[in-house]
Amino acid sequence: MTAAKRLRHAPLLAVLLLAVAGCGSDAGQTETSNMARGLLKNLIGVATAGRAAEAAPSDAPTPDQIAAAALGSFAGPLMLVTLEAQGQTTVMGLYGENGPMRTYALPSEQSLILRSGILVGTRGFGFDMMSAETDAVAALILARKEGAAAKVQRYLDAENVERPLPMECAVSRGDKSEYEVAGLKFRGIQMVEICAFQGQAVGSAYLVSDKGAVLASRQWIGPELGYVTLQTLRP
Amino acid sequence: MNRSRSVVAALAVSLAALQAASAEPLIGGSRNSFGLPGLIDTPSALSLPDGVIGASTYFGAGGQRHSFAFQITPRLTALFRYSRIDDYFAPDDPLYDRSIDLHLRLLDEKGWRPAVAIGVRDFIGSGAFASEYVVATKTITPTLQVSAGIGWGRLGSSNSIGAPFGARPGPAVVDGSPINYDRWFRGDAAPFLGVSWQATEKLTLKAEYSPDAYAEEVARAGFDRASPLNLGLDYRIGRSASVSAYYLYGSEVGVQVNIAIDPRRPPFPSGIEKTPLPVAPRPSRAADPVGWSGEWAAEAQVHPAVQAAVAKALSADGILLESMALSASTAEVRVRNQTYATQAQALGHVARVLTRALPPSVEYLVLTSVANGMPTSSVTLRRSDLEAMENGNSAALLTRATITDALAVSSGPLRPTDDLFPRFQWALTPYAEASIFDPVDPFLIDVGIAASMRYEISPGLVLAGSVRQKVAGNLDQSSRVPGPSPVRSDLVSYQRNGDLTIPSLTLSWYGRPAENLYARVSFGLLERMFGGVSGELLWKPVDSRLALGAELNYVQKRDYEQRFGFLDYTVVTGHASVYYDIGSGFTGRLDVGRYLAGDWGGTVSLNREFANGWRIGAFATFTDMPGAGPGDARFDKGLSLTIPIGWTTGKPTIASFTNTFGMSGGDGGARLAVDGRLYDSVRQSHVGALYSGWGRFWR
Repeated sequence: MTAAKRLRHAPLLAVLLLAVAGCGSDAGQTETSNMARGLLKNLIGVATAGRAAEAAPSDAPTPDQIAAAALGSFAGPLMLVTLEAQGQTTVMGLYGENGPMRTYALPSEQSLILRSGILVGTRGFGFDMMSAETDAVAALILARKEGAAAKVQRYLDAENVERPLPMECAVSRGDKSEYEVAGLKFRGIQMVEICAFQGQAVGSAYLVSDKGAVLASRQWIGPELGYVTLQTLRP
Repeated sequence: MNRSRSVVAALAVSLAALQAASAEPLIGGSRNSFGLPGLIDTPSALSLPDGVIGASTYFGAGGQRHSFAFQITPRLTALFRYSRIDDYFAPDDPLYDRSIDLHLRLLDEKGWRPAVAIGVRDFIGSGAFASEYVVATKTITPTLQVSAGIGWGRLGSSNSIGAPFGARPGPAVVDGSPINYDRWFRGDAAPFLGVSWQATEKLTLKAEYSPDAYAEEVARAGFDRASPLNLGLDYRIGRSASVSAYYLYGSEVGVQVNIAIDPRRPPFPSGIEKTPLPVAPRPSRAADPVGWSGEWAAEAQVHPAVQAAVAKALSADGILLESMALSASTAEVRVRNQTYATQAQALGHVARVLTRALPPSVEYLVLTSVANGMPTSSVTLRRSDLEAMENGNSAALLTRATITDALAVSSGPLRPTDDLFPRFQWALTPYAEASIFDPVDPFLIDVGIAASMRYEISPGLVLAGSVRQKVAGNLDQSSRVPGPSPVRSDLVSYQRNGDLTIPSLTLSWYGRPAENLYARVSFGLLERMFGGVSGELLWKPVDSRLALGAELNYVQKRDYEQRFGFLDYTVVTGHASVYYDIGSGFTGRLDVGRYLAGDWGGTVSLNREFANGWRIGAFATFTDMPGAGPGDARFDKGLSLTIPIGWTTGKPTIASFTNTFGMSGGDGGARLAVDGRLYDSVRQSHVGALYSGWGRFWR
């Protein structure tokens, strides 16, 4: 409740990110815009709560507390996210959905783009992954099958050209695993993906449910941004 | 399989590390005291990395040198230098000078062959540093390099081996003269030698034998050149800076700070601007039969409501919706990008906003860019492509886009956005104006407050102006004497007046007379020194590398008070221009016509541009201006540098900083400095720029 109160007084950063209201003949569009607006307000509230707590180190919120606060104040799909390079855990909420592609926004107005749970882009981090070809590896990972497949991730260079980073990936099946966050249990099988490029190798791991959904993952964004860890709070 | 891969990986990584270690000194990491790759006074055969801009500031024996080096092509380096040579004329009577160097790497190191370069130092005008050289550099071990060469001019002034190409004539003209070709590689030649050793990753030690006798300095001011041996060290700080220290001529010391900026290595290649709005896919036909039917288009209130929503969302994103056409199948938006340095990125934002706002039956999105009120280009996209290809490979979407002249599309009547025009904007900003390294006034500066306003009466009709008030400074104490037939050489008379001046106040009209044609007419106080009327016409097809322009001005010299008074000098001036996009980031330009002093001639410019907005250029002007005094230079030349502000901060902005390093500032070859010239604003949204920036469409 404190978070909710705080959010009412929070500076309306959300105004900057407002979606367009529909034209009146299309209720679905108006709803999307309201959703985006609400999402951001809530995320800002959660983030502000986290910051206030950081001031007193003994009181630092655990990921569980962050997750619980987010689940309590926002109704849409949510994920817990840790950018390992920054070492900071926060919440991101659904910002846009287009078929299997979902854009999740962070309170910092940055975003991660997932296609069927596999990272295909980032926005606002300075060294963004602009796009990725993940269909072949996704087919293996989501079906929890082993095999080899190609993957391409693309990055913007300083000349505004999307530079592809082609990778050869080996997907293998690991153990059953589960995690619990904010009292919610998620179960699945760990799929490990080792991708090689230019003489280097990076590994990502996915916890895939029986229904073929990626519940949690640790994925490699790129050389500068490193790894991100994602945990579903509400699918 | 995994094991063999990781072995390969380890091997590749260690190989890469080795290459990096040996490649480091080869890119000319350490510079000499003149700002070019080299030892201390002598050059080496290295270059800066391609495209890099290197700034060096040297303080020490002999004075100061502030150098800006541009690696124009992988082999050609150009350098502009402000310098102060202490005690040049007499004790405590220094020479303030500007000079230009060129350095060309002819051969790369290969096998036993050393790298070889040729260069001319300070080759224009009085040439206080004038020297030429041929130099070879060989890498002995990955950390040890030896450079040896033969120098002429100052570099041939002691221990000479004779004059292989004949005697060296004296400089033809004291100042502002053309290039002294006839002096190059003439007169006494002498060998020089230098060694550089990279002691650690950060520290490079250097030693050289320099034949420069410092003859003028020794003769005029008792400069002590006790030894031809110079020693130095260079210590790297971070990725792009270093400090150097020298022990010189057996008697003196010097220090230097170097910075290298690589336009292709920005702090944030993709920018740190906030995430854009995502595409909103349309609902199914069953879910919204009315929207899909297109019947809504007949209802009068729909278009204004949609337009208001789009305008609001775009305005929050720093983009202005000027007008919009809407039918059941097609929407055209005319947008002014006020935020994103890359037009394609702005269009990507516009396209996504439209997917969120338009009724489902609208399939064709026409994104028309507007510059100074002129519609320039139209990018037509299919909404279903945006839905299917969102956040995918941007190149794939580009193949589905159609780019045309904005006048070639007809999407129905355009409705102006409500409450947009007339539009008034104002700003209050500090300003600083300096005169540095001028032979007479080495350092004068004014600071003050500038108020500017811009009143757009309708799209393309603009009243704009500014007022300045000096708060503090010493420009009014300048002792420089204005030239005899003042056109530009009386700048000092304007600089002395800082009280409530009007730098400019103009009424301008921009328009599109026909397809491929752009026009401008400006009237009023066009610039600080001239007022009158200026007209311009530009022919530039949307997908053409070639553009042709014509400009005609009738102007009168403004009074030194810089208010509404005029002096007794009028002139008709104007140029015919050819612009050509050569490719690989190079653009060329030729202007032929009549300059402000009534002199006839031409200007050749060559620019190297990076897609991210960096621009390095060189220009030269030749006119029939009579006379040979400092104010009457008929040959002007210089370098210019444009730095996009967004590159340095990562935040989106169309702002940039441009500086021109000019040589003369004389009356010959001077052009009017009117605002809003057509070519640069129009081409930002033409095919060349859109293609090169398209990688940012989904950013």
